[in-house]
Amino acid sequence: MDYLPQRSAAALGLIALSTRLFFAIAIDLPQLLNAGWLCALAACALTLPLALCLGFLQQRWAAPPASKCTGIPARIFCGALCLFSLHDLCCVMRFFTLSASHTLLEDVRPWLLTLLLAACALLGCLAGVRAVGGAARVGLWVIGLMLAITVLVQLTALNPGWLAPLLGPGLPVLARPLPHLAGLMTGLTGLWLMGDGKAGKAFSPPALVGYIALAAGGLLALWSMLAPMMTGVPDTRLFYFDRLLTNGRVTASLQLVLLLAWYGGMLTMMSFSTVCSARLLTLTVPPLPWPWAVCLCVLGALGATALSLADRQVIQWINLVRWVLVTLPILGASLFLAMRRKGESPARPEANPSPVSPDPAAEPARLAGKRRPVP
Amino acid sequence: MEKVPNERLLRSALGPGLADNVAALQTLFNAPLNKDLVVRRFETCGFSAALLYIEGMAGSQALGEGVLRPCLTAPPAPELPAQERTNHLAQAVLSLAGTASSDLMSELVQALLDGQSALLAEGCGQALILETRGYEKRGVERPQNESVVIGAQQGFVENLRTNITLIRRVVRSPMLITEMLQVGCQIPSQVALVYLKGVASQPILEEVRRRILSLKVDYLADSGQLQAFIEDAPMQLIPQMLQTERPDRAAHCVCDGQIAILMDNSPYALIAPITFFHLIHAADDNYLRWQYATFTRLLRTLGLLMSLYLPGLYVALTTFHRQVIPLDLLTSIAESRARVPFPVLVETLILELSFFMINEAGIRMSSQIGSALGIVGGLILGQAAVAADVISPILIIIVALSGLGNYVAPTYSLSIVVEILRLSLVLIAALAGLYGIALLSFVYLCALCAAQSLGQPMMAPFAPYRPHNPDLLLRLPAWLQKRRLFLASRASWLKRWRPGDARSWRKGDKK
Repeated sequence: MDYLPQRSAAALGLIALSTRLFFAIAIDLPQLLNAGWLCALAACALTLPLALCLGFLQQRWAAPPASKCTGIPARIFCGALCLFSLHDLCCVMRFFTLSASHTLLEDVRPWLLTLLLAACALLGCLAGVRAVGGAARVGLWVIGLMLAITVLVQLTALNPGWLAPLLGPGLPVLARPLPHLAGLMTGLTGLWLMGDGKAGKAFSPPALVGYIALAAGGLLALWSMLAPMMTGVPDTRLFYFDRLLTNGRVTASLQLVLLLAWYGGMLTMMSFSTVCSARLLTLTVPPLPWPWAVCLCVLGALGATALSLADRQVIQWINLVRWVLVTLPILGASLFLAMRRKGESPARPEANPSPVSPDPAAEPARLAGKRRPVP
Repeated sequence: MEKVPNERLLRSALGPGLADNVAALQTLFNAPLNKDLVVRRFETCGFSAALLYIEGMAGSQALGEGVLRPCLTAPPAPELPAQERTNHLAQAVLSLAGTASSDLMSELVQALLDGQSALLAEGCGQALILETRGYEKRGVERPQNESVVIGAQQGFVENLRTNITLIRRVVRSPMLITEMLQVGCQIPSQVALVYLKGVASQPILEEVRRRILSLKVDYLADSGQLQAFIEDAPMQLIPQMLQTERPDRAAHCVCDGQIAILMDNSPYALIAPITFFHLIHAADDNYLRWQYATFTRLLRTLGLLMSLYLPGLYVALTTFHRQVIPLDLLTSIAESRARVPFPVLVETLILELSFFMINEAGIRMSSQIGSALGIVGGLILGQAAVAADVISPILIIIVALSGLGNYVAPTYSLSIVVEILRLSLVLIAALAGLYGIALLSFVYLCALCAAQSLGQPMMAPFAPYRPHNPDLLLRLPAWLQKRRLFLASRASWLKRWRPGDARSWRKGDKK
């Protein structure tokens, strides 16, 4: 079983989760108006308890977390996570193919696009978790460069005044989708399970959540500064999708760079969901070899996508359930381990190894054995 | 499996009879049918002897001055025991630098095939193997395929000993080890592992040795064939070992803890393990100032990316994504393609294949008619095809630019890989535009990240991360590169720079 090195895990998590957060807010939550970036920060704050627990568990165990998932309860938990990841994969595949078809490929049949995407997921993820993590590290630089070009070209068009009023539609509207967004972020658990368990600066779950908050929140804020809040416009995903792509002023040629960054983010999201679900499947059913797990996950997702069984939205009803079902067990496990560690009595003999022999009568005999003959 | 003819005779030992030994060797070499084996009988020191050698392989001067003249003028030694005759010749008569003794037929046969000579004596069961190699070999010349502006201008040749010497002249250390191995069960070839003891990683070294010694092949002609047998994934496009014809580059890699694998009759060294970045680094990056090296390296990277993606992007944009092309350019493309009867994909494939054939012909064609290739390629395929409206002029520019980008690849293997991947990207672009290019690029990237060279990840030290010098895409100043390459042994005695300032002469300036 190969594990994700720290920096690769950080890169993969950063791109995949911040992309999901970004698209969820930009396209599926138009009611947030230009205050979506605040919602992103709040969602990350809500994910912090989970991240802190994962970090605590990482520090506690001196081994990859996947090696601890051998018991039945752990395997059931992994099975549930696997199903959630598969659902994510279906949604990502659907979203990707529909957006590709809408933007630039109207002449190509949607089933061909889906088939190509499934083939890409299969071939890419068969190479292993490390390979996908490595690709994410390269992608971090490439996508970052493309986004930087896109933003720099439009730097003079940024208007911070369009972020006002800061709370946008108001606190209740901002607070309502928070549990769903936090549910999106529970993919962090799958990432943690794929890691090598080495506690370090490169991949600390709380730090990663912070980076995701900066990335998603920052991008959302920048996009909000490029177009004013609009009310009375069509409340459709398609409209917001086009608005995201063009924001009314960008030339078509610049869309090329943005599209490539878009595709890169989507591919990373898809590969993250694929390797996550495949790894969780191998943990749920241990004898299953990696190639079989990847094939089963991709074919299952392909079938569900072809039959339109998955939602088109990035944000779904299931995220709320997911947030509860993932966070509570991790919280419980962390509390249990913390209490167990705290419950270790300081008066135990093995907790206080004394240099002095406990039996003074045995001391001369012990010393006699060590006495050397005088020359 | 068919056995070698005369296998029993080959495995036998020498007897005391000179005539029997000579007859056995003649049988093994199929003499008198095979005229190459020469047998020179003579009398020396009071007993009969015979000198055997392969004509053309042994040097006549060494044979004459080093063997025959001393033997024929040596005083008799009547009290010499029969078994000591060859020892006496080696120690007191012959004036050659290298001698060895053997009593096995197989060793004598191998020595004769290597260009050495065998000296047999009457009544003695030991033969002398004499270092008399004198076959024709190519002199050290400029490298053909790895030219540099600044740097050494020597290249490897076909002779193994010369190649080892070329490396040894650069790495002047007694810790430079040349380990000789043999590959080929029926027709053996010499392979040399060259590495720095204490610098090369011991597990990697043992792995290389294990792979080479476990080969069960009858014959290997070249190091390229050896590479196919010992590399991690021969089905992958990306090469997992570096082929270099530059001794300075091989020496630099050896000092970095890598292992150079040399093979007799092969003018290339195999370097392993490597990373992907070794394939895009050129030999003279180390000799140029850091600003020039960084600039040329970025240029090379841009050229490779252009070579890889430009034709595919052209097909994708003109087929599916015309709206992203600026209007003026789109008009120009449309006008140039107005009378072309083929779709963009067919047009691109015709031109790409023509370009590949011109490349291949340029390598295979003899020098006398090489100039005709420029006329064929430039005028007929380019100008005439455009005039006949078979292809559009803008596509010639695209293909020419991508071909130019291919030529900046510092290694031949990498340029072939880029050509093959370019074709695949053109095909997927015709099928699914930018979407297809993005998907296929992702698959290739995953494959590259999964590739390993002797068990070491090829995208390291970037992914997975390893502490490294600032010398991947950008080449920062040499004095900032303090680390030994991560592929070297952790306890390496060879450091890049000793602790303290590598430019310590500046401390004198500050006083």
